[in-house]
Amino acid sequence: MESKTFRNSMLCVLALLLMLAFSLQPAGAQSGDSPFKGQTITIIAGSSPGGGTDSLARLLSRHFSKYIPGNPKIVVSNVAGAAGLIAANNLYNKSPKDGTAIGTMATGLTFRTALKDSAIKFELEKFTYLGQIASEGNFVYLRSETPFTSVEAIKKANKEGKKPKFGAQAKEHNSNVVPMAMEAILGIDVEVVYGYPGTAEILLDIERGALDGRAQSRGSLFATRSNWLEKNFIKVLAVTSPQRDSRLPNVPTLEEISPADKKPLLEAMYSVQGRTFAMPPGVPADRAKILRDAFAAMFKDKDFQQDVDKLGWNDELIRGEDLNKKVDALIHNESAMGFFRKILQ
Amino acid sequence: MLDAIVTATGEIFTLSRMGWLLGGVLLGSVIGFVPGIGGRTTLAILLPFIVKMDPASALVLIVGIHAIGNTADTIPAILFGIPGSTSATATVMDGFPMAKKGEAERAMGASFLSSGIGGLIGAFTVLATIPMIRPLILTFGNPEFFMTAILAIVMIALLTGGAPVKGLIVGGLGLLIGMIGDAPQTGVQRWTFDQLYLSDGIPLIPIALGVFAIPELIDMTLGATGTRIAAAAPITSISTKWRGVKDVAANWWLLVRSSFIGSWIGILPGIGSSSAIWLAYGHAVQSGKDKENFGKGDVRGVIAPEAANNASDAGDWCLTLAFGIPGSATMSLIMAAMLLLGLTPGPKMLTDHLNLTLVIVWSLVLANLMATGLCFAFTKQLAGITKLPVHYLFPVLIVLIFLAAYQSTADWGDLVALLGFSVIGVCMKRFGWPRPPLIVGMVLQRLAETYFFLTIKLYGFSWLTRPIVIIIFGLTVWTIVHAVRRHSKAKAQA
Repeated sequence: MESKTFRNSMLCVLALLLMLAFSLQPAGAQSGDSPFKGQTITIIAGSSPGGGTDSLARLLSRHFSKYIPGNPKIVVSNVAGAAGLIAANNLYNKSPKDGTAIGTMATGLTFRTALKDSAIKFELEKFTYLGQIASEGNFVYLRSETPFTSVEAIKKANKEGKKPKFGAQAKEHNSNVVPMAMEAILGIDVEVVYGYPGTAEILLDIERGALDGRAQSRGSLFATRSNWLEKNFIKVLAVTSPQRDSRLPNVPTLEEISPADKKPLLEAMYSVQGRTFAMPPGVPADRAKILRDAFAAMFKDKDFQQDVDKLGWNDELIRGEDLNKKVDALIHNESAMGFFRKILQ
Repeated sequence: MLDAIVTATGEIFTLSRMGWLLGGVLLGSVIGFVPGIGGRTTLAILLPFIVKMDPASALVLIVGIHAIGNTADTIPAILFGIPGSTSATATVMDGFPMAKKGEAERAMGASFLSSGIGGLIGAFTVLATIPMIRPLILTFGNPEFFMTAILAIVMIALLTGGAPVKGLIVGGLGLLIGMIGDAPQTGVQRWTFDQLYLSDGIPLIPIALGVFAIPELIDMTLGATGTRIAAAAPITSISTKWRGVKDVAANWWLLVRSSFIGSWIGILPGIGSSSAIWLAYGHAVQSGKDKENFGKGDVRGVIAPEAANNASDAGDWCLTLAFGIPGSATMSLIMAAMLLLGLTPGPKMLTDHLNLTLVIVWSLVLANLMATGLCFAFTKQLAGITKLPVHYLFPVLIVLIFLAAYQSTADWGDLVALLGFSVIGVCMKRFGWPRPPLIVGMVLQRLAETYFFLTIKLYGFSWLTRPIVIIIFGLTVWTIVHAVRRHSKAKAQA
């Protein structure tokens, strides 16, 4: 009995070690016509399993391979911590530069770059961008029963010493950045209470009446609280995207209600919204092209589109080459970066 | 409603659905033994396959994988003093001393049965209170969450280990360790020494393993060659799982009360099972007439947290399904799976998709029964491990502990944390300092801090006049007075 149990336990450990060894196995050698044939591409999700970033990585793992010549195997690896910063640092400095490592890029990385955060160990514009989907933008909304149901109403309430209370997760999270940007652009006074552990807690405090509203990504609002729209529990003030949302055609874009001289700042803000994938710097141009083409082809896949819809994200594609140009322009746009610094400090 | 119940019953009791459920339970139990993987990662890996299935079968499979975790994570906690997950940390307190006394089988019997019944009570409590849940959740805001966290810390600090002052000091140390990392309000890095690893705080698993598992392992290994975990008991000692079943029957009311505590905490978003188990454990100590055996292998210290753990899970499901509020990271993942299956969690799950909701409730009930049955069937074999010489177990356990620790963030820091906290754990054990308050202080620090700041920002000082805050404050004061009186009585007797 003793020796049997011991043998079984040892077999278990052996199996575990083998599993570990396989998971750590480096990508194999090139073979066949495609440089990716027989290789394994690792998608590094900058969060723990569960939640938007992880779902996105797994969405890519499900659909990407069939559009890459050679159909490489795709695995997801979760590198959680520091809101995606650890994953980005690792991707930039440690991952192979042959297209077999792809990472999710958190929007907060741009804001950290603007703030010259010393924990950043990369230059944002030097990543080899793969592409961006779901440039989703945010709805800014407030409870209908508050006196803050339009920008004019907020200005009026401000004169009486009242400010709408927005809930937010972290400083560099869009739920804080968007209301703070609105304050700076529209000349209104708002209060952002940040430090919430997650979306659910903010939504509950809005329902409790402890908060007046928030900025929430479009897909997330429709996926989690479409009944608030149906019941007129909330009034959506604006949408932070270049075009109006077809589901709420009467809601103006932030651009429409902003002074003309502030529009370049809005463009800067829009450019960091969305769900972005990147590779380390220095990926050979031919490999980057194969992957970027595959990414664009996957985007047209019906199953992929269906999954994106189900997750409540809208589907817009920005190709990697264009993203590299956009990020480069943004990083060197001192007025935009100064704007980010101003609203975040 | 009756129609929906009939339809749901018809949907679940088919060969294929029962097969998926059993498959989920078996898969969950196999993977549950591999440290660091756990139910959440299993679900994440399986997500691409699950979303291709029909929604009812997919949900049944998810419930199966998820349900076994909460029942089976207690096995390493009892056998080796290694908490398989944070929700098994309270079971270590009395479960492992029971194993050392040769009562592993009894402890597991009691634990599995309490888990199963706790899960059932939780499921029915939640089902019965669905109409009241929304108002309850809305009444219980940030100030009440803050006070609940404080109550849990005070309870554990004062009620475990029989040394209230040492408990409070260790709890305070736990709070300080919990503060390492990004401050949730300001983003300022606290005590991170420019180490990115520390920016999210030290992960809990390496600390729990260092503080609980390594000291036990070292003690066992330093014993004479051939030492067994169940060293204190003769190898023929009879303590079957049926003794555990009798224990559960004898402590029936404790089980029910702990299940209610679990269900209640489960439906409060943001607190989670790690508080539920300790509140239930604290309640068991507080309400027990003879308390001197707690921490030394009292079966009530196993029954209460296990029942609360599974009951809180039912509440968590309810929050996710009916209100679209995932109470834990695993539930966030399940919510993502539901979205991919074309189901939007929220009030419509109680109207348009009521039959699917009932399929989930049925699956929870059945999966709990299956998990309990499965674990129960192998209790004897599992308990046999405690009778093996430790020098056979040591290499296996040490590998498992290091793997589990490293899986937290897959960073070398995890191993450094494991070793550092092992030293602290060994010293604490050697000098008689209670270890649970350290873990509880750490777990609850972030909750307490976050909710305290949100409370002050949103309510100023008016929160102090909220009725539920006053009630929980009263309970906290009562806990302190009770502990001080007990301690002085014990001193007077000594």
